[in-house]
Amino acid sequence: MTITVYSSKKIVTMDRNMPEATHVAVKDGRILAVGDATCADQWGGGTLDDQFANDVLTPGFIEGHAHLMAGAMWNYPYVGYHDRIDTEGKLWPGLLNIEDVIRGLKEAEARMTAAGEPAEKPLYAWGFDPIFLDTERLNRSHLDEVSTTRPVVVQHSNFHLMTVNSAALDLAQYTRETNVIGVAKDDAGELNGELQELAAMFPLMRRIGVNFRALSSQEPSIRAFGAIARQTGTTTMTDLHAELPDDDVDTLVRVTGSNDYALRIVPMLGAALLPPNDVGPRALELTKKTTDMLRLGGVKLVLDGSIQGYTARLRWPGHVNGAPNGIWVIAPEQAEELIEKLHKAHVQMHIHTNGDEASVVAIDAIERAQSLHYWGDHRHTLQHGQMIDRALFKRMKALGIAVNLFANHIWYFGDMHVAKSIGLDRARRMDACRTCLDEDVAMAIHSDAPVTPLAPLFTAWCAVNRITMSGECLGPEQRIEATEALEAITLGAAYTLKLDEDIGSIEAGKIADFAVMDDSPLDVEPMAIKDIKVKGVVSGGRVFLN
Amino acid sequence: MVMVNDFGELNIDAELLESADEDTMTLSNGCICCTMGTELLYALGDAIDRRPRPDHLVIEASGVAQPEKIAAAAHAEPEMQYAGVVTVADAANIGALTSDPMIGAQIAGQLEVADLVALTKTDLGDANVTGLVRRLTTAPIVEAPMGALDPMLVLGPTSPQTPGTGHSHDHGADYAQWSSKGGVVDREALKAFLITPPKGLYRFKGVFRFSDGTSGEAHIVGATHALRTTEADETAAVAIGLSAEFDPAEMASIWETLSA
Ligand SMILES: [Zn+2]
Repeated sequence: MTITVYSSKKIVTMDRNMPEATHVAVKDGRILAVGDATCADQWGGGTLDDQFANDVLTPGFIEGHAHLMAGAMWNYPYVGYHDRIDTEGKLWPGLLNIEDVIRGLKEAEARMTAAGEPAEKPLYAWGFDPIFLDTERLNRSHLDEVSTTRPVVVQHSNFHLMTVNSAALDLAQYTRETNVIGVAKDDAGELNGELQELAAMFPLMRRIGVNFRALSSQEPSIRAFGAIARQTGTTTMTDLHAELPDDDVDTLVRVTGSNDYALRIVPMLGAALLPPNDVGPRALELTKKTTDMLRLGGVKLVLDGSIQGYTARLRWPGHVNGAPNGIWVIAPEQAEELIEKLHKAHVQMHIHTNGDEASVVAIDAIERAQSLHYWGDHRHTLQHGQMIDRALFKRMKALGIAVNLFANHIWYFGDMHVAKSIGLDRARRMDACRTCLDEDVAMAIHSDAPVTPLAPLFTAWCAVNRITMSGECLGPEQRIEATEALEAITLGAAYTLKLDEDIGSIEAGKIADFAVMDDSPLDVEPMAIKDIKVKGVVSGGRVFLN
Repeated sequence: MVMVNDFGELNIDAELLESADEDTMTLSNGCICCTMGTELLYALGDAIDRRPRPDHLVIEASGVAQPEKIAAAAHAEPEMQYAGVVTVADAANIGALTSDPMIGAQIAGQLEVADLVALTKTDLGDANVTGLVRRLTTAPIVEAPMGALDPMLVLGPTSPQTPGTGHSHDHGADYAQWSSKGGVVDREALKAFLITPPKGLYRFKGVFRFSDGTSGEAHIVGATHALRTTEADETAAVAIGLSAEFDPAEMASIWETLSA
């Protein structure tokens, strides 16, 4: 096979033997050599490729906590507050007030009509930001302006709320007489178009046929997932709670294996989707279907809820606004039993723990499992781990537990945590990257896309700056250096996925996965890291530009 | 049809129900990272879309499930009729479970939202267990030795088959039944009845000819009720309650006052 030598303005390798280079030689999709223009000479030399001569290369980014649904969302128009780029690279400018949202919806409606869609076909839009809710609430009459024939459904960005028009209320058979919790009414007793929580949304979602479970396993969504990855420099991404029946796995193998697909997907089997005794055997069975571009075998467990939803399990003193403690998704005793079973079977676990009490339960359970069935390199990973403190990090280090911290959360929810959920002192040490690294716990950072948008450079920016939406720096002591943040979105995440032998740094022998951008995250001002322009990726030696 | 959520006690439930394979679906109580607890709802949708459509859907939500969330979906979906939350409490363990520092609040919540509490293993529990459960719920409490519970209490009474008004205690000792057929009912009086049903009434269902010429159907399960407009040729209603608390004769006399 041929050898290609790429020149670059700067290659940030994340390999401590040679942190920077100017050239990388690629053969058979792998990195043959790294260094200067002569790096391939010992191998007989190669063809020089200058297309990245004015770009910076880093290892391809690795998103250790995302969901395939992030791709499926782009089947529908976006009506959020922040600018977003869709899977085809089209910019959806942020809609800054209710008039903008209505205008955006009218345009989407006009596109449907122009495309010859029947007049009663539903219009579903997503990403509506509750930032407006303090001033004017979106209601059914706003949306009746968009259409009186089509059900119009606007999903709010937190997924707990939607606002719909009269045609949609009719479709769900909701009337003035309806007496269902979550079907909201105005002061005069008329339906105002707000449907709160999943149960109230369910009859409508069924009838408009929006089914993200089905969508997420289909090829267009997998391709959309690949596209948003490429745009953000991401070459490996998890789908961190997947059902993975054989048909879905076959589709994933086929799509990720096609030559025009750039993203390596790491699906984690959702433990709650199978009877507990079947989880371990199924995970082990899935490892046999692993390919280079589809890595199988990990399992996801969810212990508690979310801090912003007041459903996370917190240790004393709990919620600062007096809200009761959150909920267990699995009872601690059952979680302990399942963790022991999976650990014994050598199945790696990614355990969702938002609140600190949930993290303690997971750490206790792993400690118990480890004392019963020693496994030297399990790399069980706590996902989110937002309230883990120094003492818990020390226990995790001793037990070999890794963590994937939710850095994006500081920007999106930090102000809310200060004001309402856990108060300033504990919010300052949420997602404690500095303490984590000081205690030498293996660390990744994540977006949880589509909960927050996929963009590893933005995630790194959050960890480096810890700026909230109000512009405050929340917990400056927990900021980390740019190079540490870059490691967290490359090698660090690779470690949590047990893929660091193959990916995560630019060094000889590894897979040739690069992110291509116009400047180095290590050279720009820390506040500018999120603004670096990503041009595309190299995946297994194949070039994919945006 | 039975849907089993067996993330609680490891896989026992599915094994017990193995014989009923075809009509048993296993489902999850997991939610994708706190924002999308949709698995259960998809499973409900699948059940409704089955043809032939099941007559009854029994969802076994074990472990630390929140039955009120499942109930909310049944309330919201117009093609389903909510039939109640039955919380099964193991008399030998319920005291320890409700005082558990980790899961106590969630377990107590399961009793609080119940429309009916079935106490099992009462021979193993201490004598105060009924009092303890009573403090946590306003729902009727029945003993279910060996886990046996009259299907009438779970699935509700069938429509009355015989004309006229009748009542019986003959289905064993658990519940008493009242039924009536024929006549015309005053809509406003029925509404008032639905809001404050007689003591001990646990379930009520009926179709009605109203005195204003319209017709409708109504249901009571525990503390919840529903009334909606439907076609009905003839008034027919049935009610049940626990024998110790519900008096069919009293129900019959209240019924007289609803007739127009
Ligand atoms: Zn997630």
